[in-house]
Amino acid sequence: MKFALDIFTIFAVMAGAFFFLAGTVGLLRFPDPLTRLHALTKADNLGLGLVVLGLLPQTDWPLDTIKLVAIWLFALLAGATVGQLMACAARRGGVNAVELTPSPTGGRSGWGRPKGSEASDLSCPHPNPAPLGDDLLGSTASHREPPK
Amino acid sequence: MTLALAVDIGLALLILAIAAWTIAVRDTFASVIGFVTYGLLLTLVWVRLALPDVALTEAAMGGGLTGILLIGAAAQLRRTEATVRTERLGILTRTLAAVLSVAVTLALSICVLNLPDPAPTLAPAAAANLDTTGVGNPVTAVLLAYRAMDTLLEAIVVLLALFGVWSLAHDRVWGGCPKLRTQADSEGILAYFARLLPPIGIIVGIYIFWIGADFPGGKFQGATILATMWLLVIGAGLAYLPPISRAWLRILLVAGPLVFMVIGFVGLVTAGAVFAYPDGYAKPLILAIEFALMPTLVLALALLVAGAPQRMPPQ
Repeated sequence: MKFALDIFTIFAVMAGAFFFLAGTVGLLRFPDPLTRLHALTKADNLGLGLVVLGLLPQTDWPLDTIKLVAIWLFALLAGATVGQLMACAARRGGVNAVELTPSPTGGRSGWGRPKGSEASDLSCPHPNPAPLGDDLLGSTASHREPPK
Repeated sequence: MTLALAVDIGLALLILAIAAWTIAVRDTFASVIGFVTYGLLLTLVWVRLALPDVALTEAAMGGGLTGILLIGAAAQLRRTEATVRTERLGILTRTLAAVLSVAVTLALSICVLNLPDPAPTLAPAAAANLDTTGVGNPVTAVLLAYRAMDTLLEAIVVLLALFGVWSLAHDRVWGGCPKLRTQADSEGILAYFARLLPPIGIIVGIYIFWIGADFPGGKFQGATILATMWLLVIGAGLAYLPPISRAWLRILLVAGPLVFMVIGFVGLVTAGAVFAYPDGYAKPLILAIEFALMPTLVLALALLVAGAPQRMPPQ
């Protein structure tokens, strides 16, 4: 039983490492922010998930096991949120939208915020279509299945 | 060569490469990202050296908080960056900088390499007297019993840094609200995140603060987590930063160091030395100091990130 669990750990962690590798390659090679984010979230969700799954048999039940699963859940939550925020920033402000614009109050400035679009479209209901075309967004949607 | 050694060597090489890249890259923002990555890798090094206390502090302060502060600074500098990048320092300045850096590195290397083996250490003495402090974590004992003065000065330094940031405020907004860039959409993903995470984050922060008496953890690490939760709620537009003229804010900010100093000087009467604790009261006094310092640190760290006051509160 112990041997079988060790084999399981080795395979699951290796599978997780493969997803991290694939995610990194995607991050470096994909052409635009949305596809790069897509690659990155695969590494976070599946890669970390498989590593955690593989390590579960090696931990002390219950505290360490729950902690590991909680770490994965927090990474999922944070990854999904930050991915959405970055994708929105990319859609709103163009591909390299980290340009500083003074805020209307003349105060502190923000990242990637074109003048006038004051923080109301976080969920991107009406993105600027110009910088990233809809065809491109469509192609992201078709990538929704994780790569093998 | 064992596997662990291979990991260590790989980690060391990676850190050196990131450090070199952080210095060499011309773009300020890229450099800041390099620095944050460097901090996270350094956290792994502290874990490998079996120093979880230092690792927690490095992750919270070195990587996280300093990272946010530097990203904010890079955002402010972006406007002037193009002009700065075209300027090149004179050959003499650059040579002097290089000579100075190499000299410091060489001096440090010589000092480290010439340490006697085993290196002089107070660790056995610290461990032997742990019982008299009543706390179980030797790091906490060092910070709040053996070297309490240093910790007091650390807390005061954080406050002084905050006052330095505040002093950058324009006269007409003095006493006003710091302005954190917020997302006003109360239905957005960030607002959802800011409703979901803080209940868990507050528990984790208080746990790390509380557990610091006996296990790795402590007030600085816990305070960073709590400050982050507060900033998350504010950043999502669900709450507002208070004006810096609020009395409760100022009282909480000075309460920590003040309680610390009072307890320290009372030691002169009750135990015969400044920052000495009377027998049997060490642990309650240490806990009292930590409890008083906690709100101070949470507020000071969060307000450091928020920056100087930018506008007057609505009347």
